[in-house]
Amino acid sequence: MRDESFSPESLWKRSAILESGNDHLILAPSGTGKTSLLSFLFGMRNDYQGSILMDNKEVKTISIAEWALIRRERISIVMQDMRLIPTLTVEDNLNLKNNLKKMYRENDIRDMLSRLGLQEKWKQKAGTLSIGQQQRVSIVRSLLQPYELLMLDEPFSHIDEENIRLASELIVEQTRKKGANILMVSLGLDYNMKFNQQHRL
Amino acid sequence: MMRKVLLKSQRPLQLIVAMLGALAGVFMLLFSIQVYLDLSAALNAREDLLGSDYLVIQKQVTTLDSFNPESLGFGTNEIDDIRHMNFVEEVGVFESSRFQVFAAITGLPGSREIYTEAYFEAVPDRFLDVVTGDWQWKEGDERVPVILPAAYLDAFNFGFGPSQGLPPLTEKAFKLLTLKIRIRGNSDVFFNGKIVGFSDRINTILVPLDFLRYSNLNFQTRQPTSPSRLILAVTDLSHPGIARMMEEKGYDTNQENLKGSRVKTILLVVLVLFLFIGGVIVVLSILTFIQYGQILISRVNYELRVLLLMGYDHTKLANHYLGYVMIWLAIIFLSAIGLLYLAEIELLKYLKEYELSTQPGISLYVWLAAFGLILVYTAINAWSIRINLRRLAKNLQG
Repeated sequence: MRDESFSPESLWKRSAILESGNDHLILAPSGTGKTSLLSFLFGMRNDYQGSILMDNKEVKTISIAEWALIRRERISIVMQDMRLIPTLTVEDNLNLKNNLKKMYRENDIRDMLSRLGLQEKWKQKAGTLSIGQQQRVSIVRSLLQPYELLMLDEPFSHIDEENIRLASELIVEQTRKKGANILMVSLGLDYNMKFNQQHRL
Repeated sequence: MMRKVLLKSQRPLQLIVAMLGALAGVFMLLFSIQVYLDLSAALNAREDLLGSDYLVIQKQVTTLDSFNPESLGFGTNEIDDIRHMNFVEEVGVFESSRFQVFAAITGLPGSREIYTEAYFEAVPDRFLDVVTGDWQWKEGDERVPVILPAAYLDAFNFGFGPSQGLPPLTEKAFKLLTLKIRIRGNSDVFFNGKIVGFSDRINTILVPLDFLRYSNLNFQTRQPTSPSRLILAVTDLSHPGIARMMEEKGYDTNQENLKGSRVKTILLVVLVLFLFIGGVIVVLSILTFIQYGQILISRVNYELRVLLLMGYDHTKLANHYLGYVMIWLAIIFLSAIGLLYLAEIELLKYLKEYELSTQPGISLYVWLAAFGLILVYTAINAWSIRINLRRLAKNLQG
């Protein structure tokens, strides 16, 4: 991703360019539309005023098929509501993602889980996990694909300090490996992660 | 695993009901076609394959005709119209005697004599069903060949004869009898008739056309009128167009002749009815299927959105669903074909009781219709699924 500019309120109603090669933090108190912003950037919603350009292409004009490709290979996301499939096991939830590009072997995936303390949860139904555990699974899932940008929407809200450290380490390590960048939206904390650019909503 | 996700909300009972509905409609459609083809073939097989069929027609007599006998005749235009019907090969006109004639049969056992007033008719030779080398007459011949209706022979042998104490006669014996003809025109003229045959086809006293025209010319006591009867050479007595023409134009004929044609017409009506009902059921079942698919998809909207957000292509997901639909369709159509085979066997047994037979097995047209139906079902379902998933992919916020 080379270029991204939009003029909504605050970051909205302004123009900004998020350049690739940078990690971005967007600070956003509740109610300022951070989830909406990521929805626009991920092609989930189209109802914005102004323009959002991705590689100089208006995001509204990207077709459904192109979005599918972008989500498989260019942008990954950790959503605030996680969106796991509750009736499937952790294994199935992760495999659903990994099967798209087959980037990781089962051992690697289970490794990541145990780094976040979830090794015994492999065969457990996702709906029976705590919110914090679901968040961690959701984070692992987001790593199981190639990407240029990893977007995170309040990924650590239900995770304790130690696990936040472990998780953020994992995220940064995998992202660097892919030569990619992070765009995180947070209420106010940076979780000790390093960001080149900061914005406000 | 995809199956787990995509079909999570499947309700087997609903699906079975939808499939049964489809099976009923498809079977009905296909079977009606098969039955029609079988019955047509069977009826046709009974017809004389070598030559034309023949049909004698006249107009229906109503009370009004008593006041206007002319209306019972066939006009030239009318004859032309009939000639142009696609099942008519040739039209022959009955010419009738326009003079008073008496006939007497002598030589019966016990020196009995039958004497009656009669009438003559004639048709072109090619319409005769009696093969005889004896059918010529030219002016000056005293001997006139005559063909009597076969019914007269029966009437004599089983009706008149017994009532008069006369023994039955064979065709051959009858032909040996002497037939005296007296024509009372302007004056009396006598001829010797010779019975040369009996006709099953034409129910009248036939004389050679030459003789009749000569007699009319010389002895007629009234003017020519339009012919009141026609004999038609048709391609096939059971052609449904015949019954239709008789009905529409108000013609009459020996009812027996029309049976084949009437049966075919009724067959057609029943067939169309069944096709229509079958078609309605098929349409309804397609709608039921579509609805089932929609409900299936809507029940897993959340899961589908998750998949789409992960980067799954909506057309690939649609194809997954289509794959299941194809499996269901395969079950339905294989069952329908199976049922068709069973029904066909029963049908052939049934036809055999009526001494009708036809080729066993499912007709090519039925296969084509089945194939067509599969295409329709598949296309409509594919379109519906694709639309649903596309709509979903455009609204991922959920």
